[in-house]
Amino acid sequence: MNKTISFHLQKGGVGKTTISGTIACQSALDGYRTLLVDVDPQGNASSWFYKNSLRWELSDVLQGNCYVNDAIVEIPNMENLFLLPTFGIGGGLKTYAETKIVDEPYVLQDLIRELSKDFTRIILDLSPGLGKLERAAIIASDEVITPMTPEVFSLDGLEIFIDELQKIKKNLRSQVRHERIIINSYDDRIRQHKDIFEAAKSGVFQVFKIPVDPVFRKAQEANSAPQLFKQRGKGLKQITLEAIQSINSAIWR
Amino acid sequence: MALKKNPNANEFEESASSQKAKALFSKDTALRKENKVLTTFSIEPSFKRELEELFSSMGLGWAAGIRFALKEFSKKYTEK
Repeated sequence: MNKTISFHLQKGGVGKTTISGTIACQSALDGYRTLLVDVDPQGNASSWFYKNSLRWELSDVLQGNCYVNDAIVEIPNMENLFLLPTFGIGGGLKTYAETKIVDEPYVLQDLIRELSKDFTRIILDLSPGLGKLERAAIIASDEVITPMTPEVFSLDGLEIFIDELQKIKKNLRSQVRHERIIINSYDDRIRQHKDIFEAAKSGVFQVFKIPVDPVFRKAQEANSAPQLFKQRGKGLKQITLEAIQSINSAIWR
Repeated sequence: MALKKNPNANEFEESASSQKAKALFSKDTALRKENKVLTTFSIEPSFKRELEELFSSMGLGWAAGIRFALKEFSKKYTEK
C-alpha cells in the first residue's frame, strides 16, 4: 500500500530532517521505491543528499514551471531513493509559501496524489513552524509523526501541536492520523529522559526512541546515508540501527 | 563560604519536565474522543415508530435517540 508520512513538530531542532532523511534511507535500503520531498525552504534535506546544483525544485513544480519528473532526482549511491529538492539558496519555496499557497491549500495534496502512482513510500520533510506551507504538507500526508527531544519545550510544543492539528483537520477536512511520537536524542543515563519516555508511553501514542548518536551529524556532513556512513570503521551504534529499523517497519504498515 | 549539602533535600524530587510530561500525556488520553463503532440490530416496526416519535418530541434523531436512551439505561443500572 502506498503511504505518505510527514514528521512534524513546530519547534525547531527536534530532528525532523534527520529522522525524515534517515527513515527515507532505511525504506530505500529495504528495497522500496521511496521519495523524499523537501518542503523546507532552507533545503537541508536536499543539501544533505545532493552536492551538485540542480535546475528545478519543488516550488517550480508547484508553480507549473516544469513537470514533476523533471525536478525529481535519484540520490547518488542509494538505490530506490529519490529526492524532490528545494534550494536553500536561490530557491523559490519561501516566496511561494508567503504569497501563493494561501490560495492553494490543497496544492501539495494534489501533487502527492499524483506522485503516489510512481512511489510506494513518500516522506515530506517540513520546516519548523505551522504556517500555510506546513499545513498544506500535513494534510497531504496519511500520517504525521511527531519527533521531539526529551525536554520541557518539546512537551509544550507537542501540546500546542495536538491542539492546532485538531483545527487543521476540522478546517481543511483532513483525515491525517497522529498516533506516534519519536523521542530523539534519548540518553538513558539521564533521568529526565527516562521520566518523559515513561510518561509518553502511558498516553495514547505509540512511542519510539532514537538514542543520541553523533554519527547522524557526521553522515550529513559527508552527504551520506547514516546507515552506510563509516569513519575509521565506526558507524551508527547497533542500538541506533535497531531503533531506526523498528520505527521504519512500524510506520509503513 | 562553600555551599553545604542539605541532608533533608529529596534528591529524587520529580523534575518540572517529568511533571509536565505526565500532565500532558494523561490529559491527552482523557481528551481524545473514542471513535464510534457502527452497530446494527432489528426491531419491530411499530416499536420503532413509537421510539421515533418519542425521540422526535425530545428533538433527537434516531441514532442520537438510541445513544441517549442507552446512556440513560447504563447510568440507571450502573448506579444500582
